[in-house]
Amino acid sequence: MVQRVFDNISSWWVSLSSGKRANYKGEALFSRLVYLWILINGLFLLPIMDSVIGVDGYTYRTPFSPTLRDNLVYMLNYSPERYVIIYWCMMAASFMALINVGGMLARLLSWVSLLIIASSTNLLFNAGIHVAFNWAFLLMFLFPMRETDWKVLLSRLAFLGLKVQFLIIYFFSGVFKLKAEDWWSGDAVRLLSFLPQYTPDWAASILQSMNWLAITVNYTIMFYLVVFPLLIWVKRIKTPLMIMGLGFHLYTALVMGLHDFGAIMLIGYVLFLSEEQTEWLLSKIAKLPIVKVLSFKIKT
Amino acid sequence: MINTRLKLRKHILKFISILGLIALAGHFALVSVAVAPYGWSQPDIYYVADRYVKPQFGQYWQLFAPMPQENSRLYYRYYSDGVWHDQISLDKEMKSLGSRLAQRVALRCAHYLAAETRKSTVVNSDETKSYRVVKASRSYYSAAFVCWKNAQKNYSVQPDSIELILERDLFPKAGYTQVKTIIDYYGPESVR
Repeated sequence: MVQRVFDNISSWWVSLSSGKRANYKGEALFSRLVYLWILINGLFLLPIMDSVIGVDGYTYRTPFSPTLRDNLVYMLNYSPERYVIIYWCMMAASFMALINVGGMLARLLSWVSLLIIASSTNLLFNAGIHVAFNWAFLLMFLFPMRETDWKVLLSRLAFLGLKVQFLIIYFFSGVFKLKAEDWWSGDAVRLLSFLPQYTPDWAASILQSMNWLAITVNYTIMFYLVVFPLLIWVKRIKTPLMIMGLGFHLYTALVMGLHDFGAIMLIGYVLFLSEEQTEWLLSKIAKLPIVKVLSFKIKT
Repeated sequence: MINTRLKLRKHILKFISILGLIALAGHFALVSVAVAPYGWSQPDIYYVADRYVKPQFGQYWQLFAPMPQENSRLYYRYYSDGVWHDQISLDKEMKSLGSRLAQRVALRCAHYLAAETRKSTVVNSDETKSYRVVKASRSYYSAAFVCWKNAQKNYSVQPDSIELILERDLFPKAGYTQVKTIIDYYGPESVR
């Protein structure tokens, strides 16, 4: 078995360094979905940008350390009047990245401006934006249109990095739950039902009246998060595991109201689709008008 | 000649792949150290990882762990023209902006202030000391600033004083109890 694992890793590395493409349609689809997420969330932000982040906004600004990096990332704390430029830079760059125009420069601008907006206040954004800007950084090295071997190689490395980042989220989220007493005692999901901002009345009444359901969901979530990084690589278990995760994240997005976080975690599942599964997914959504924006042709 | 070039290209690609894998491994090793529960790594290593990760790769994955043990809401009153005005719900005010994102501002203010209150109550048994610690925290200034700005924008006043009222529904094992915490704030100078 050890020999088999070693052979698999060795053949994977040979394939990686040979400049051969892997699931390039999956890579391109994931890339476009992330930029689409940034654009849609940017549009939700537009009506309240001025009142929350603007010069006369609700954000209480404090100075940060005088390093160049902090001055750039937290620039809206020092110069809030620049939020307009940064916001439209983010929207324009993300749109260009979505339609594959502007290359690495567009993706770099998208990442930097998203990071600056996300760092402008801790009152508006949840974990979804952290996922987004960490992925946006790695997406800079993903070349949807590739003519040279080294670009294919960088793209495959970036794609690997995106997967590892996704697995880190799941693993450490599971670890923190394993360390929390309310999760271990099976009480966490029941406590969640008392928070009206995350649980509508109908869900609260179900979870509070059916204690066995709350406990089952509690332990399922805990162990799912921890074992996902290992089991996702097992082909037989991968699809049912992803379907289960699909259910959790749809609940997060639609019932708990964390649309942005639920959506971006669902997008993350595209990272683990096989070539056949990606083709199937693309064929299902091919009729949607927005897919014309997502459609692509990779040069051979 | 062509064969030599192809061989050289292969070696270059292998070299880049090894370099790339090392860079990825290093990056995610530091991210893992920074994100892991405190105490999993040596403080020195954690400090280096934390400085590398923040702010451009900043992330935290304590998602509902631990689960909030209370539901909190923030209200405020402002003092203007010699009169204390009626209690205002910050949540309702932010909802009136018509955006769910704006409502998050109210939820976050209440949540962070409640966390600060809970933390200082555990550490300081003396209520006066606990109150002073909360009033010195960033969560307090952030919440007070939002309330003050809200009064300015929605009621066209320059409040002389603001009083924050934090309503906390605590969740013991059976049912819940409600606790009200009143945090006074005198003068808007500190938050301008």
